[in-house]
Amino acid sequence: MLTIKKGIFLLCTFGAALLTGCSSVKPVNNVSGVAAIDVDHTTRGPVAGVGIESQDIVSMTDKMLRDLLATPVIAGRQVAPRIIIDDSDFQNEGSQPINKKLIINRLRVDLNRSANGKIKFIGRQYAAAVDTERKLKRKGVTDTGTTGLTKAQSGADFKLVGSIGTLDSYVSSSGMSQRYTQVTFEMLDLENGEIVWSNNYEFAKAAADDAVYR
Amino acid sequence: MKLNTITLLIALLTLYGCADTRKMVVQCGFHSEGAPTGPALVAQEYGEMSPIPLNAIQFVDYSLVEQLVVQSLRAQRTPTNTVQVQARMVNCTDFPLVVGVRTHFLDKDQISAEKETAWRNVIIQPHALGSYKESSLTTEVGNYLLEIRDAR
Repeated sequence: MLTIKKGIFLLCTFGAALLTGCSSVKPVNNVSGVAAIDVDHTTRGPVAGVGIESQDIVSMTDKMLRDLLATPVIAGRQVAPRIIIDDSDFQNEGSQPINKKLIINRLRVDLNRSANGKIKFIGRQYAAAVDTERKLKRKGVTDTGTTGLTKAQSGADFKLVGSIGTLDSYVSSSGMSQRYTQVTFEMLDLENGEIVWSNNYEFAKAAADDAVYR
Repeated sequence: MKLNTITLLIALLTLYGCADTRKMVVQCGFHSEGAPTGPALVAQEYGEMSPIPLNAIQFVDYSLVEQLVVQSLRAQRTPTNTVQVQARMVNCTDFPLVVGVRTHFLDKDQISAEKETAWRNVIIQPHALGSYKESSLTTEVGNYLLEIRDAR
């Protein structure tokens, strides 16, 4: 009898301890889920951290294209220069994994739409596709199209090059992390190697949030 | 008598010294009402029938009105004939301000000449100056309008 009582007492104690343990676990605040919301990609959204985010990409590409169009050596020439803007010489040397094309493609598209013929863009990243079509035309598999034939693919005068760099710091006692990000853009003369234009986009952010970039 | 005169002189000099204290830290005065003219320094509430002045700065956040003063607002042509606007602001608070600024470039008929610029964050230290510079994409710019918001 005494043993049963003891057993019940132990069971109750164990149950109470278990309940206490459970109650100390932080409840999940989205048990029923969070409905999808439309977010303005030009401003900081509800999920934000210390890295490059959509508003940064919008802001940096906007700044670069406006600066490029105000630069005479690029946008003030008698003959529109030919420029390559792709990610082949734009390196991500920072700690954040990021698709570089998000930056490069936005810059090329917006610059192309805004340049109004003052700059010509060479799609060197699509050179293989152009080469295939040129061979088909010259073998007579296809006709010559409507824009005529050229001796060769267009050569370029300048190429956009650059890099992403970061400097990270972390305080374990507070859980705060800080990141300085520097994105460098430069326009390289493809004949003599001169850098004819440069600009930086830099910022630093600090947070204790656990946003994950992927 | 002589002692009294000296005492009086010392007292006067002391008082003058106090009154001549130079304002080493920027002090800001704010308008409480009235629509701005020219480079606007005062917020306007949307929905009011008062027209938004052109070539001016429009405050988006009312809280910024008593924290920030726009010291100058200028525009000039770039070498490629686009328009560059420059604004210089003063942080009147005792803490750093993070403001977002963007520009609407309008043509001479006050129609948008291009899409508004992206928000650019400007961080201004307490009682310090901050500057914002932005260029248009087109040359067909006749007017402009800047917006400022709290970006913290």
